[in-house]
Amino acid sequence: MVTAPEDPAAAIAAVIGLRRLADRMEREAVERAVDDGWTWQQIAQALGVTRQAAHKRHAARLRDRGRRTED
Amino acid sequence: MNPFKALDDMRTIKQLLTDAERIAREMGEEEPGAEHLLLSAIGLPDGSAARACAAVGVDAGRIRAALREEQAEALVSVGVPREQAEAMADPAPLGPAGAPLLYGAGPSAREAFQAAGTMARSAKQRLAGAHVVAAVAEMERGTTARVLHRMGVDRVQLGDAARAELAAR
Repeated sequence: MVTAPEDPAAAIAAVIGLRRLADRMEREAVERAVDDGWTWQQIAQALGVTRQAAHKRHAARLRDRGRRTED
Repeated sequence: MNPFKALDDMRTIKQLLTDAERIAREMGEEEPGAEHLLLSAIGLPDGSAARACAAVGVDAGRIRAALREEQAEALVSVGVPREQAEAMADPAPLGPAGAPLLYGAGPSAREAFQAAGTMARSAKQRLAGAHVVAAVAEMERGTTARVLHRMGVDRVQLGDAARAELAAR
């Protein structure tokens, strides 16, 4: 059960921590989805964003990852 | 304005912002915050930021460790078991930015960077790392303020140490 701290500064710090964790989980999940052959349309649907938004957020990083793997 | 001073400032700005971005990405963040700008300032060759921080017992390694603690404690505070929270707080580096993201700093880094620039201009000084330290020390809220507090650093003392460095230039 998640409970937010009473103190607003601590609660906002918790939000930042959760957001950072969510961003990291999103990056890792999208990488696995791409590895499993998902299309950008499917990834966008799953994330609840437009295809353009999903692509903008993740495509460059995944291209770089591909380049680094090939090196 | 002296053209050599302007050129020097441009070099400092470029190094400050590119290093802040690199440090942020190494720590798994897509855009730098004031905490990454501070770490970048500590690495600047003028040495003033590193000396100001050393005067209050702080170096880059301590800041990085306190940032990880801050992230872990944030997750513990909402009920994540400590062991998992600490594992999740370990940085997951993003690798270099593929796209030209140069100067794509987050709001807190922009605020600190602009305040540092304003301070340098009003004192007619070349931009130095200690201007960034003085600007960061003024920030009352946010990750950097919390991390300084976590390390037991008094922001007023840190600001004074940065201003003493600048006065000696």
